[in-house]
Amino acid sequence: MSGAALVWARLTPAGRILAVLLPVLAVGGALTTALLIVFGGAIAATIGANLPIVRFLAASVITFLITVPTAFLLIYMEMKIIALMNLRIGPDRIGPAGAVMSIVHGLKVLMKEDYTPPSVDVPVFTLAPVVVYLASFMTVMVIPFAPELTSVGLELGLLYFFAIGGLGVVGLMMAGWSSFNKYSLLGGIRAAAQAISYEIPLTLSVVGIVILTGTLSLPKIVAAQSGSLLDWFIFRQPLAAIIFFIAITAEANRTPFDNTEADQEIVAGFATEYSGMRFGFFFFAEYVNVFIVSALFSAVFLGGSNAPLVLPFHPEIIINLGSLGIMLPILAGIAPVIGTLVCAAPIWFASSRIKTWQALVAGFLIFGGLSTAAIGFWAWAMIPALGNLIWFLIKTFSLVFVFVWMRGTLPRARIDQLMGFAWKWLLPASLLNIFATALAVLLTTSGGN
Amino acid sequence: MIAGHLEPYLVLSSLLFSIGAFGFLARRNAISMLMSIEVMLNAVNLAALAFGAFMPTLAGQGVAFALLIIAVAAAEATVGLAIVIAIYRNRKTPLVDEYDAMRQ
Amino acid sequence: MPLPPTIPFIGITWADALFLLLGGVVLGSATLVVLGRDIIRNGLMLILTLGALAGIYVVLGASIVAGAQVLVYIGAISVLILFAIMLTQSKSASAQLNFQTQALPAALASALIGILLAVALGATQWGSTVYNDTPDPAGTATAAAVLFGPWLLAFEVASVLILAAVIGGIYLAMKPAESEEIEA
Repeated sequence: MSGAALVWARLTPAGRILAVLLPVLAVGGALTTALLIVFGGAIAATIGANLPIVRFLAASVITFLITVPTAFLLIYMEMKIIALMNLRIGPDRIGPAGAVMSIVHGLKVLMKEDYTPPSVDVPVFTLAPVVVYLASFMTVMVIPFAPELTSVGLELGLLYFFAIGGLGVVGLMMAGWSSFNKYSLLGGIRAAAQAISYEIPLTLSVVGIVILTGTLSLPKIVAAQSGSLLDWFIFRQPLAAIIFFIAITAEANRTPFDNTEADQEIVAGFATEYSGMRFGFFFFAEYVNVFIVSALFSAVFLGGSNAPLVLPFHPEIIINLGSLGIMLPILAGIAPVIGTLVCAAPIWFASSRIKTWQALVAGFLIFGGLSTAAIGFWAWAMIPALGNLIWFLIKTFSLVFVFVWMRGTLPRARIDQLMGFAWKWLLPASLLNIFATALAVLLTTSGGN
Repeated sequence: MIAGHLEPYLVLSSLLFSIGAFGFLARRNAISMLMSIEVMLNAVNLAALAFGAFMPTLAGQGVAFALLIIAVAAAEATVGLAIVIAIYRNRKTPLVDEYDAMRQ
Repeated sequence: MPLPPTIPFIGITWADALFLLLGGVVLGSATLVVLGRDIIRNGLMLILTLGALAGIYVVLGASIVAGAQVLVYIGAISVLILFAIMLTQSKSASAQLNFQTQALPAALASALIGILLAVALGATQWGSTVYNDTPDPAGTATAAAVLFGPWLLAFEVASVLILAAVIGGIYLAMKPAESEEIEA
């Protein structure tokens, strides 16, 4: 036993993780294979018979899983972009240009001590981060990434979105109260006041769109903007778009409305007493929320997955891979070699100072880039969902960039100005928008009946 | 079959209503009393929705009634909580049996 | 091999199981709302009650009411209640006596009300059609036709009531000396 302990003590942390993971993976993989061979037919039949349930479960699991890399990506984006705006370098240690930095941050959060202060209300204190994270992940379910890629195409999607999105503030209040700390309590109270005040203009601003489209379903709202660029609701409902944008900024607690965790005023607000992974949940939920509100804005106002301009030609590339037969694996093995040599040759001939291996590496990279582009173009032409998804993500991440930009630029609003702005300006403006839209619809349709 | 009949919903609604009534009568804290009122209103909502769902002649009316109740409950909660906070500002207590200025 | 119509080993249908689960959560958490000592936990239990009731509304096929329930009741009213609790409570206040002296008669009276209502409602022959537990897709349209047709007056009265509540809330929250207003 002491020999095993000695070996264990000499392992690096990565080695320990591998030493635990590899046997588990080997045994698990073998067991899974055996089970699949024995029960595969029955499992396939069960899945086929319960396709809606299986589809729902798979969609839930996938949406739950994609929130984590999304949060990592957004955290890295924010660190890097704000650093560039501040004329700093930002993260540059781990990975190319520090790209793995946020993942390492996540691991660090996992390893930290998860401390529960002695005076807190333990069950409420423990459940609060879970509620916050759950509320943000449940709203991902209805985001229409593409017409074919909506996990749950709820008929009342927009209502569901606002309803579940409002649950997050309950978690913030639970955290603020249970921490037994004045700063936390102030953060929770601010979160509640802000969420209630901005939820009203947020909900009222989309009523104009609901009047125009006659539906609350997000895929149908996206489909209603499928014509030209001018069909996007940001051009048909500009006032609503402005109100909506301000309100989602407040709902996601982003600068200039991040009074709930204003670190110069109230330490970290509701999250003051949290540490370790429980703080990580709040942190993750904040960034997932940024992604969600950006996705909602791009779905409701920026046409969602619709392309801003329709390409004049529609490429049709049909390659029947099966007809190649045995040549397919041979070609797949030879093509990279020949491609690399062909791409490396001009570099090698261009200058005698370039060494052979440098030319080969450069050729491999060029060939890799070219073939990736070709495969990507083929996939984009063949799979419409991919093109839609790419448009959706471009719009969403442009908005995420705008949020980061605002954080790097704008100072924080004062809390009473914040509340007064919601009640005195945004609420009347959103009511005005509803009246104007309803009047326009009435005037344009009353001639018909 | 329980969920396919009207009666279980009505029984649930009446039990919920009695729980809310007890809370309203017995609690000392004004905010607790408001919460009990919300529970009672929800019991009424559940009964209305159950009737609307099971009675063919009431199709759609249960939903309309429930939506109106929710709107009224929102107004009631706003004014009720504003009153509680206004009284709290003067008397420094949320307990209703200490609001006895008229008795002294 | 589709899912069996009833849950294995227990023998009740899935809709029944959902109803029993949600109903149990509703009753249990509502009891905790009125009996619990810590008032902030009462508020959180109220949220749980309202959420489980929203689930029952979905079982009843009224998903628009479930959405409005979560949006208005949980997202606004419960948060307002928690807000008011945080403004008016201190941690020591929860250790005080929670019930009035009339708690015992109140318990008897409300138990009587509950039993009477439950027995009367459960025993009446309502002559209702058995609901086939699939949500009616036209339910929202039907409800809208009712709400904006014969019930339009009630709708308008409700909106006037909300306007009055907004004005009343602002007036009550106004500080007496200054005219500066605080939205609570």
